[in-house]
Amino acid sequence: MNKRAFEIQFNWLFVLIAGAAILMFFTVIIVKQKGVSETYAKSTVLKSVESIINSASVTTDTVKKEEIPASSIEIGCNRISVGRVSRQYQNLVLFAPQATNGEDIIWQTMGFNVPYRAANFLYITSQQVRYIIIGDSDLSKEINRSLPSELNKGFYSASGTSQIKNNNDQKIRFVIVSNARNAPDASYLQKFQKMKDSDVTAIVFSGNSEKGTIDFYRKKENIWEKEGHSMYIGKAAFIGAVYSDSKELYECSMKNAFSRLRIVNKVYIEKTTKLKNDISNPSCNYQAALEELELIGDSSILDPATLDIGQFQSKINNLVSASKSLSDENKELQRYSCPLVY
Amino acid sequence: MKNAQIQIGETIAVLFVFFILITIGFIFYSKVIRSNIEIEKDELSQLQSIAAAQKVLFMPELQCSEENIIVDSCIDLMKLRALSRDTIRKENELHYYDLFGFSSIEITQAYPSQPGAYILYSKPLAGARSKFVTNIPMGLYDAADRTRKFGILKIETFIS
Repeated sequence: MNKRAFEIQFNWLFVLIAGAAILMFFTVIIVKQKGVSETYAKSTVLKSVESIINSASVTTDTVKKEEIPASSIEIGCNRISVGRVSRQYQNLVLFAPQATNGEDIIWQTMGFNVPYRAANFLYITSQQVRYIIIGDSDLSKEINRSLPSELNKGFYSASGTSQIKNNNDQKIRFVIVSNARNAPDASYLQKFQKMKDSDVTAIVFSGNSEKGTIDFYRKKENIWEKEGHSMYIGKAAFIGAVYSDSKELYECSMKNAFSRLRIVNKVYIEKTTKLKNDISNPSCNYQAALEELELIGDSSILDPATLDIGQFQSKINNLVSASKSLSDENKELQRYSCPLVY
Repeated sequence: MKNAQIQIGETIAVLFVFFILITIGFIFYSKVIRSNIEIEKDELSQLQSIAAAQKVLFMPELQCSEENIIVDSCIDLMKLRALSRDTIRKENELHYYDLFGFSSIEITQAYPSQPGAYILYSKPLAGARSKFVTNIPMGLYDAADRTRKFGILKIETFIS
């Protein structure tokens, strides 16, 4: 090889190596920047959800539709994730489907009153989820009334379910109110057979607006598979069960709600003890209210996941009765112009 | 050969200068980004402080209420005394971390003036760069003697 040929070949080799180095340099930067941008976009969505949670903690009985960048929000027990970005909580009271997609998020808040306000329940869903309420009882009507009009929902009587149509929604949630506690009719699934099993769920309520049982079901091909059962106390809890599409999520939020209830209850016990000692008016009977508060405290030590249904039922019954009695005691105090407990 | 060597030398020098300029650009860019992050951190801390104040004023364990009807910007003094007791406060610390993060929250009775403060939450951040303090005036209600007082809610948020 002569000198000239070597020179040309060396030149090309040099250009190739230098070009590859420059290309590689920019490729690495672009790939890294893309990753950073994706994480930034996901953390923006997460921040939006966090701000919803913050707003919800300072408002009650509110419904709002909020636009967020298109993404999938995954809700777990005390955890919210958007892709790989996630936020862990110690005590989150949030009722929502396990995965929420879309650009429009609908959120609702409701006070958990037993009988004093103990917590603010937050419900999150999207218009991609369709809620089909079936029933003729007062409870089914109350569920329909309590779910906001912004939601993709339909209300059918038990005899009118043939009118239910497949509107190609992303997720379907059947909300059935039936005191017979039977599994949902398999015929409901006929129009939704092509949907993924995880996208079709059902919940069967049995009880009234004060308390009752809930059975969770999930589509498995052409039949309904039972996921488990639980209980509810009050309107805020049964609406929570409508929004949560899994038993685990519902019970996790309820466990956290009861934990908050215990904190608030302790404060009310202290306040009522002080009122009992300080108020000399014999008509102001704080002892009865104090006993009911102590009963509420004992009954709220419950973790739905660890108790059997019998124990759970008995604690819920005690809680409902103590809550009613405390409400009566508070009204009685008001009648005698005494300082109120709550 | 000499010409070629000079050409290659020139190209290497150009590439060298090119990469140096890019590196300087990146250093400058990252410094600007870092200072923006610091500003954002400060703003976030201020927002956290305001959000914490709103949360405190809306906590059912503190709010004034009559038959579950809430009185705005009012703290029930009897509930406040109970919640600020050391035993209850320590029990709730983990629970309140979700709401308040690294911050300190206390309420003082300004009128009629009373010495000392009710400490509701205290979780300072070790090695914090600075802190942001928010003071919010609010009403205090003593249910026992049915008197209304005036208080100051003080929130300190820590910036890392």
